[in-house]
Amino acid sequence: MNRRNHIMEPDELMAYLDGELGAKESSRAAAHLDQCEQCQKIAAELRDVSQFLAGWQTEPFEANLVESVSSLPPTTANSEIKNRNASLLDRTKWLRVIHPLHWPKTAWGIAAAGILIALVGVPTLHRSRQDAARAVPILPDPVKALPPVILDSNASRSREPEGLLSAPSRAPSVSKYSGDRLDDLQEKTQPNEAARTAPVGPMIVRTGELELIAHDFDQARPKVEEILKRHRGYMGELSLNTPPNSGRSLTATLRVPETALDAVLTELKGLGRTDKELQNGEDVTQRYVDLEARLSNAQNTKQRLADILRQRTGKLADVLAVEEEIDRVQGEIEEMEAQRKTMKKQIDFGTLKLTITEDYRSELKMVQPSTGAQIRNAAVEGYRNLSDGMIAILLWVLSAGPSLLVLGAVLFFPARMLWKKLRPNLA
Amino acid sequence: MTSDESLILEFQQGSRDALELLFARYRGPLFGFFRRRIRSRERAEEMVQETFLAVIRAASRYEPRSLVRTYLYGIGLKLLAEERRREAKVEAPLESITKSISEPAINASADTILCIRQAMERLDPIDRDVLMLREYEQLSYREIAQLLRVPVNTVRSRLFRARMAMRDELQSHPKSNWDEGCARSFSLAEDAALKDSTKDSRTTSRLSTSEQGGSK
Repeated sequence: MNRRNHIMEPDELMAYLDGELGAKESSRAAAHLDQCEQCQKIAAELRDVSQFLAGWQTEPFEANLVESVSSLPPTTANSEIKNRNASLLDRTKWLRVIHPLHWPKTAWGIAAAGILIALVGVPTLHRSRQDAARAVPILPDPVKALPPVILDSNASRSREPEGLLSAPSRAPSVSKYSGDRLDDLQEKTQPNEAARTAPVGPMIVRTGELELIAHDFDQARPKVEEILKRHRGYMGELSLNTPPNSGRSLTATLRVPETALDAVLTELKGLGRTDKELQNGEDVTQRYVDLEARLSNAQNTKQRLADILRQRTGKLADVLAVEEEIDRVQGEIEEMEAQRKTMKKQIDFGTLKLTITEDYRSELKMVQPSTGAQIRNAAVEGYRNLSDGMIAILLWVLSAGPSLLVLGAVLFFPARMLWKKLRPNLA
Repeated sequence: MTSDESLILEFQQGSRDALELLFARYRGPLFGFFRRRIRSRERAEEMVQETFLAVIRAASRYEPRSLVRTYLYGIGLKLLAEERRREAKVEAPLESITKSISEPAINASADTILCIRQAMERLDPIDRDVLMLREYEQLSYREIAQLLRVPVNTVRSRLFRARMAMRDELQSHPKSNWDEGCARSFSLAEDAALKDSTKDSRTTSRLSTSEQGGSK
């Protein structure tokens, strides 16, 4: 195919036929396709391929949910039901044990269990509390959110290969548990649901400001970097000022994991005397939840539009209008996703503005010059004074001379006449 | 019509009807998804069930970051990967091969389906996944990219390559002779498989070349 005359690549043409191009590209592709025979041929071939592949249809599958879940092979549903029954049996056995006839044994058993719980449970509880305090909330990836039970069930199935290639053994006797089982599963999901609706508790954007006067300014920066490295933070911005006749100063914007912000603040304070400390926390839970809801709505809208585009036929103008709308919604989605990402980053990482100023000590210079140097300095000073005086007189003459000459010329003749009149009288 | 995402959120709130509605919407597409990739119909049915069991168990962790459709096929792909790893360790009886090959399907002859499968099997695995997700699951390029964890442009180029390969297959078997041409090539492959099985003293044999690709 001669591509020199083509404004679009063949795969771009395919994307157009699949409805994957934006409005502008689609109109361009449509116009090109009307004119180009080679592209029309490729388009026809692509349609033939889709038509060919459409020949592979599968049988219908009409099971409903309850019977479907209840008919799972023994390795999944039935094994869980067996476990459930086993746990029920265990409970009834326990009831038999606490019968009055078994009280002496029961008392010893309870005492032993109590000691065991005290020995094992208390440290475990303490450790779990510490772990909970350290835990950082992580949102799961839906694709990765496959529960371990499925993997376990597959693992257990691998020990029973016969049941896989042959038809699975259906177990009608367990169908009566299916409803309860589904309810059990739903109940298991409910507490987690409460946690999901408020997945990370209050979402706080933490900021802080710290001004220090460092004891050892030269070591301040390496120490700050070391503290950040240890707490997995980073330096967003850094500026260093060294003004003359005053102390140096370092200003930095630090991004620190929210969980480590307090520890970092404490360690930074050890670098010098605290001059100013400011901490601020902004609750953005409502904003985050609103953003999530708007994002979800926009995605739903986009999906509905895509369904309309895929399932309905209409004029090219209508198709383009829908595609433009999809583009607009997609733009909104991307914008909101960016906002969410930024907000999440702000929540996960606190911002700390750090200013470290050197504890400046002004130095008094006491240098006594030698006698020769003093004489030389005096001579130089005298010469400088003489030259300066001469220059000053010359400058005065030059600046005031013309005015004096004019004034003298003006006053000379009246003064002379006055002198001549007055001189005989004086004589 | 309530969206899939709303249904799964309702299920999170405890609505069983929402889950049943979601199941009714996706049991067919998911069954088709597994059926085209697995030899056994019964196993495909089970995997639909296991997919929904996974949804029930992981409902609390579902985040409306991706479409439910993508979410379900994501679970499906993981289950398939597990199934294929497990299948690789198990030798399939010869009877099950011939049975699965000769299974009838609607709207097309068995030979046409066989022809498509053989053509698919000659594709690169990722190209095949991309092509099938587009042609049969009707996923967008972006959704396929998200599922297979590849860039959208890669999806586009691989899809084009796969379709061109399928076009070449079509051109090698003229449209009027699809069934005939593929049937001939299948019979050759089957003969080879039978010949191999007679050489082997055991009564079992691995999948023929054509069948292996379908179960990858």
